[in-house]
Amino acid sequence: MKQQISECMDGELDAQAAHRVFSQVAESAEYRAEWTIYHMIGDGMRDAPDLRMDFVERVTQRLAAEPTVLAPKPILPSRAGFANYAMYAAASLAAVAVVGWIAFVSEPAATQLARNDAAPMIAKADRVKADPVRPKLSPLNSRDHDYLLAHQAVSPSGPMLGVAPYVRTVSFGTEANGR
Amino acid sequence: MAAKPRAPRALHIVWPGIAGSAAGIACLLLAGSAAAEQNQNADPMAWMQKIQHAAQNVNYIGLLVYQQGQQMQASRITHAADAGGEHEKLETLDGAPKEFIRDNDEVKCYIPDTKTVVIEKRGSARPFPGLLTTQVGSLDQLYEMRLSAPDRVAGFACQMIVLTPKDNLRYGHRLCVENNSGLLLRAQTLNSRNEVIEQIAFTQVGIGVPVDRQALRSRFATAGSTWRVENAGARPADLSQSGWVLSNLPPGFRKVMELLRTRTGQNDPVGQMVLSDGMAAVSVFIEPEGPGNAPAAESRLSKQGAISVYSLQVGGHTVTVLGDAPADSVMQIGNSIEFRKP
Repeated sequence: MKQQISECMDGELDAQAAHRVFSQVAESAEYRAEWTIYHMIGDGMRDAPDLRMDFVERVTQRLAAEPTVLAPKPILPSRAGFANYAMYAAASLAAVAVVGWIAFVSEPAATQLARNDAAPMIAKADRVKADPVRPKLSPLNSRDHDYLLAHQAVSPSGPMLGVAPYVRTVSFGTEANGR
Repeated sequence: MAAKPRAPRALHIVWPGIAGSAAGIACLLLAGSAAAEQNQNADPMAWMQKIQHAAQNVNYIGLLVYQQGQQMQASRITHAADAGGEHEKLETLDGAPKEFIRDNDEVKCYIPDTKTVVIEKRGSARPFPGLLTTQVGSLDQLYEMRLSAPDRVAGFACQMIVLTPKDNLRYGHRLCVENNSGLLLRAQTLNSRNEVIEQIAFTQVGIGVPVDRQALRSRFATAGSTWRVENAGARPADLSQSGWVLSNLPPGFRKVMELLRTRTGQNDPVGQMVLSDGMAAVSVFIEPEGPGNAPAAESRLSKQGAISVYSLQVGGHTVTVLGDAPADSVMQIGNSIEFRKP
């Protein structure tokens, strides 16, 4: 199950398997703790500032304290799918651009570095395309094995110089029954 | 790495007349130089360079164990450096026998099961192993580098170096380096949850040992002369010139090489771009659709150990991105490729 939680967080499970993990995590305090710890480790590695176990509780409390908004459901345009997605993407990018712009304006003494950081963010907004969907994981095929061999031949892979990385091509080969 | 100025140790001999103070100065100077050495030992970058230098220049014979997921693979490695360059042999000890023989930039892979020899020759297109040296300067912008508690691997005391990526587009590394020679004794690759996803380690090794020429020959060298030879030739190429552009690489990744590969029995050459951030390496293969390469309907993602593979169709070509980087990273690289008619 640990393995599955981990894979789920990496987005490696298909929808069905992910839903199974979600429901199991929802039911078990132990898995929920696991889930939280994994996220905390991830956050820690990414230097996220707020490393506390009770993150979920605090968000839940804040949500509960929020007033209920009674508003009519928006009428969805009939052309569902991509148009929608693109619209959301555009909207969120616009938000990024706005946030970037506000940061830019409200900090007149901002350094050149900050300016440089903000500028490309705005510039990007008019030529961003939606990322393709992440495909389901499939095993390596025989072409991949040829490519792996070709990759190792020229790979400057870290400190593992020379032929040592070729071990990979051997190890992968035994499982995939290929080269 | 910035070289620390070394205190001239012979100074106290030059000024014998003022023996008392000179001895004092000498003491200070010696202490200073010891401190400089200490500093150098505390610098992870210096260790990275030491690793690279040792990988090329030290003779060693040892048993390597490679592990990823449920898989384990033992092999014997023999490495020698002499006036003629680097010579290396890797032979598998588990499962189907295979041998890899390297003489400088040529690698021969002997596969007795299929009676095949695959020959990979890099020719002049080889920027390695100098690569790490040229990129080592930017490593600390991409990874937080620190020294950790000393450890022991294969009976040798070693220094542990930890590289933690500053984003989630590369893996972390834990390296154990033999204190004196700088030989890398264990390398672990870590995911974003600090779990080891792949590791390679010596279980036994002789460092600085004499290596017999015979020990570097394949035991299939004689039999292999009658085997089928697959020449996986590669020549330098300019793929950007022919219209292939990578527009949105993950931070720190740079293109270090562009090749055209031809394989025995295949007419259309395959383009290969090699990218690296100084630690991780990713290849982008571009193969035209043809009889041997039917276009796939949709993109494909595979993972094994630290290797991720992402494949997609772009402008009548199959583009395959493969390397020791997380899925997000190879997907970003793959999705950033564009073909612009030159």
